[in-house]
Amino acid sequence: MNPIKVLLVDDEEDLSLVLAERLEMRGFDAKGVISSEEALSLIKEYEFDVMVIDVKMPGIGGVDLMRRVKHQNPKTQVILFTGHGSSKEGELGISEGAFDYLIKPIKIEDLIEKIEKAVGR
Amino acid sequence: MASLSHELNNVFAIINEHNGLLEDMLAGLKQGMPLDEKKIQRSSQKIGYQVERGKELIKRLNQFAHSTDHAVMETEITQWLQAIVALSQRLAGMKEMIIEFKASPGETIFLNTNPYYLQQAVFICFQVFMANCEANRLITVAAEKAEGMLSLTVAGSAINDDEFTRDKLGLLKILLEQLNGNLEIKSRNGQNYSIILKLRELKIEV
Repeated sequence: MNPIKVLLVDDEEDLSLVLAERLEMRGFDAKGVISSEEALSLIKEYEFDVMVIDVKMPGIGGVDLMRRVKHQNPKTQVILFTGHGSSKEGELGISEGAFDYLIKPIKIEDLIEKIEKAVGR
Repeated sequence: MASLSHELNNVFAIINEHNGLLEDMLAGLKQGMPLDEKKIQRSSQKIGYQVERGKELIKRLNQFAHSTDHAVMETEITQWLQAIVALSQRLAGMKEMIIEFKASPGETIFLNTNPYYLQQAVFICFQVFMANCEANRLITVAAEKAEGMLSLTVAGSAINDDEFTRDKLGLLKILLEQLNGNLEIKSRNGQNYSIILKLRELKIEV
């Protein structure tokens, strides 16, 4: 079975890169980027099974990024990261097409469970 | 405040992930994998950095929270402006804008004023400029005091002529009345706007 391809998008470099590293250690094919612009550039070359996107980012926000990703790659599932007290943002994201959302800080096991559900494994 | 709490959340999330990575490496060690000393050092440094970042954020949150404790107090203006700018920076960053505080080197300015109202007044000025984020990539803040009057200048490229702006400026005028001050708006040929808040000392009630 091919590893699940995951792209993490968060303007906090320490978050996106370390999470990608931890997912890689668990058998995922994971990359981390720190802006929506970088993500949009990357998805022109690679198709990801799942994108994990922070809702609050400078420039193109998370939900806006999700809309653009869905337009370009409808098969890519999106999981949103929100902050505490922001479950409404997560629910809004779901109504706009996100598969699910998680509130930071997360447990990696919860993220993996949602990624695997998103790709139907 | 929401922006600050989001940032604080990120601090916890980053510490959480680096802690998780250390746990992953320990789990790997038990399975015979060698420890990566550089990665451990990196995670340790990152955790330390985020703890300091968190402390600074909490300090600013506390400053804001305590600003309502005293109606009027002797206020160190430079320090307060730096705090307001820092509090507003992430919000500005979300709109791809920067707020810059232009401090006069070596100058410490004090004023007996209501720091809570002062924060609100300056923040309203930011909101007015942020409403036109296309034109206002840089907002500057400067302060000077002369003959007992403080002049706070918040400057940007453009101010919208709409209901939102008029409402905000109306609110600003009301705040300035409470601060024993007045408002001036200047521009050069319809560009490069300055919102100038002129404040006099308030009486500290014993």
